[in-house]
Amino acid sequence: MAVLPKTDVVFVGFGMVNSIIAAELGKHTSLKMVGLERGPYRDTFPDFLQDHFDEWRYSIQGDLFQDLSKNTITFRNQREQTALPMRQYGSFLPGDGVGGAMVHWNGVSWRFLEHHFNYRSHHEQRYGPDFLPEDTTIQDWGVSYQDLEPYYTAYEKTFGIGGKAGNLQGVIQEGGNRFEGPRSEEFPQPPGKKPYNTTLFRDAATELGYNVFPMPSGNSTGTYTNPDGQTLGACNYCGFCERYGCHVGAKGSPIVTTVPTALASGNLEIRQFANVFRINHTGGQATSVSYYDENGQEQEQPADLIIVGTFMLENTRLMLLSNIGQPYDPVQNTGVVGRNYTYQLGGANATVWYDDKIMNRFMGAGAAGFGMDDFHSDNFDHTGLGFFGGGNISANNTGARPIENSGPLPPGSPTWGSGWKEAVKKYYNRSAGFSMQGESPAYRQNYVDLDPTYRDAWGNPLLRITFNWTDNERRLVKWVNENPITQIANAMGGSIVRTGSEITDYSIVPYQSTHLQGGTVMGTDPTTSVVNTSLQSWDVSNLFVVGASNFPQNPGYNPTGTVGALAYKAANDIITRYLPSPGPLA
Amino acid sequence: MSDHNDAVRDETEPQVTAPGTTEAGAVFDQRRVDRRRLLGTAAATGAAAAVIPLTLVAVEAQDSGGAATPEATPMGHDHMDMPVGPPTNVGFTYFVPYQAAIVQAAAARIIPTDELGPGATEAGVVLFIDRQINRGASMDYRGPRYSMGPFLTGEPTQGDQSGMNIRDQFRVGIFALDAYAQTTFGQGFVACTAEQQDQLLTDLSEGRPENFAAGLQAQPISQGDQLTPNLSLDTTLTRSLGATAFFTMLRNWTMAGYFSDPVQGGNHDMVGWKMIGFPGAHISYFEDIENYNVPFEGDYISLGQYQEQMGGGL
Repeated sequence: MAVLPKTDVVFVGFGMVNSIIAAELGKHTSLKMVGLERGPYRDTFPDFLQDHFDEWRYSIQGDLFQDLSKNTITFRNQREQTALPMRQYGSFLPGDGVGGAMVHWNGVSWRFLEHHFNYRSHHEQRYGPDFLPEDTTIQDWGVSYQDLEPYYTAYEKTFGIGGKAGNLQGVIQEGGNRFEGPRSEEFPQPPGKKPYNTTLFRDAATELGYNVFPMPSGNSTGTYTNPDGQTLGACNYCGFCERYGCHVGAKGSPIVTTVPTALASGNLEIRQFANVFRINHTGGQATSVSYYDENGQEQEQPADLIIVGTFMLENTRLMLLSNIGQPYDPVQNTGVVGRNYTYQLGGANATVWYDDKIMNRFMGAGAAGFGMDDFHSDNFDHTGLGFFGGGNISANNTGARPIENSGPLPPGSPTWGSGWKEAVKKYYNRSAGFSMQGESPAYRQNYVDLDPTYRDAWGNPLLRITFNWTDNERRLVKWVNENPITQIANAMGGSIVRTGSEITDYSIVPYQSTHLQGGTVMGTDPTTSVVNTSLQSWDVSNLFVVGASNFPQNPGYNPTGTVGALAYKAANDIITRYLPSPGPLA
Repeated sequence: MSDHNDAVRDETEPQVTAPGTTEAGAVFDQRRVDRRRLLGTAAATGAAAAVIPLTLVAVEAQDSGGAATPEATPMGHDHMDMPVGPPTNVGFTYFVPYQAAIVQAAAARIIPTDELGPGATEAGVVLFIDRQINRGASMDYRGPRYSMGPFLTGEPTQGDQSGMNIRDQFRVGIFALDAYAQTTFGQGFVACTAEQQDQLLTDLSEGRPENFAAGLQAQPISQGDQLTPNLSLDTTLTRSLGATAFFTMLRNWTMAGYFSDPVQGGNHDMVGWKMIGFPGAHISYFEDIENYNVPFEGDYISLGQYQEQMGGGL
């Protein structure tokens, strides 16, 4: 093992979070920085410009995803089962490489609603202290929407988000989301073009009286230069967005924004193929990180300040592997690391097929569509419904690459043979779909810890996920399917309508969502959180852990925008408060 | 495009499309001879429907110089045209012809060649599968597979827990399918009629037979005229592959070979895309996306053609 020369700051992972923080430190300090990234550095040119239209390579074989042959997770629905490894991809798709999962994200970029940040106290105030089920571990974030607003704004400007404000400084705006919290400014870019099938959802839902608005988009809706001088191309609606890099640099991605800005400081070195497996610490101070380099050799990188900014899974696993913070114990309901693991609730959706319309479904972009928040969280009265929560209902058309998207086909269509051919030839280009992206509340029994049996390629324990839906989510999905989903689908004027029905147990097998949260939750109480509201470890003050792992529970939105805001908040608190006086910030 | 519009495959002869040139025809005829020699046993047992597609592989066609000048195919043309192009590669990297013939026959029922257009045969699905499953022991359908044990049986929500890699799953599944055909119809899968093959595949998709490849133990193939390996069940073996799992695997890989970009070895001449109207690798739909309810009339473009446009020609 080699001990490398000490540096000022070391970043574990170099995706969105750490490229934001490195870019800010690079602009405002002269600190020397090292970024350790387990995957390769791929950029618009040559990688994506010359190769991105390959569904087999990127979408099916997952060229931009974490290499499961080296590191995966184990999964079980409840503690009584033996967790088994996820041997092939299914439910979610963590990224790998410089820029992280944001290289292959779709670009849907939300700000969470105001009452998402005080979710428990909001519900207790409105419905009484016993409204939320006893086994929920839902908690307030310790920061308000207003606290995060400047950081949301910074993130949206850097990544060139396009959309229409629904609330500007408290004044409701026509055409935007009237449920959103007040924005200090309009979106940096206007909304983009919309695929035909998404307008059928918009028209039907608007006619029914719902507040439908353009989905906020990280697919750059024009040529855009951000405050750091980085330029994004305009989205071409090529239909290869999710699971792909962008061929024209139009996706709000670190590789075209914060990574070049951070590198421009001249104070950053990014090391590819560096697999960090431990944070070394003593007496409440971190001293170095240990990693395996591209040849499998162990290296130790000392630093004064360590910032962990990987995907939710590795943020939590690294804390457990490093023995920092008390691991969560679901039996005793003690400990914090691994607590409040949450996901994203699916199952409420509809597809409409048309005999008289051609959709050109292969044209699209990750965030090209419309949403509505009339049934999100507590935007509607839950009295007597038998559940809490909800979600954003949206229609977007990300493209229709045919290995995975030759369907959906009408109910009863054959899945192979001449009957399948007839159905797919007729209906491939004639469907319009929409769905609810539902909330995932936190429960005492859903958590992550280290697996006792299965190991990664370097011999370290895999992360073990114990997770299932509860009757609350099952009732929620059923009600939303039977009410707004059915109502809107029937109003869309198609020839055939299919709506979702009920959900049972969570399964690791089908793809659902790459939105994983919790494990290193933020908060104001060290007995129920891993980091404080500056995302600083309660136990090791020169260690910051930032990401969706900080969410106490997950609303019915994509997490990326809020992860970006948290990264800007962490950068601000490090620069303005920690560096002048290193030590605990809370 | 070919003017050959007879889309219904002759069950007794390999699919022979009219080549564009006499040179190509000569090559093709030579390959036919080679194939007959290779499949002598099959022919002797009357299994002449064991069609290994010979008209295939866009990548190799490009290597031959045939696609030096990309010619995109406008949408709206007759989608039922059959592919042409000189076959320049007919070998298999992993399958032996016995296995390839069974995969080919099954794929041809999953996506048949019919009046709606070309099927798995013309797309070269079996060649796609042969190349793709042979890219390394850990490469599975979804890319690199976690292959460390222990291998335990779990709940359906926990996913595939097989200890076999994809090549072994194909090997075992192919034998088991052929054995099931022998048990059910008294002949190998390839020799069965299309209706019998459909019945066998339907059974698999519905979970029959229950002991499909459970503890499968294969004996050597005899050197006589028996095409199918002798199979026996050894329940002490823990490796298993369910009928539904094997069918799903066959279907997924067939769909991938039909719809993936031709650069990956299937979807020859973009026949899969033309069947449904997916135009391929278009750099931009900026001017088209808001032409609502207007069918797109642009070209079909493969990744190889796109890379040529990007100055990627070597």
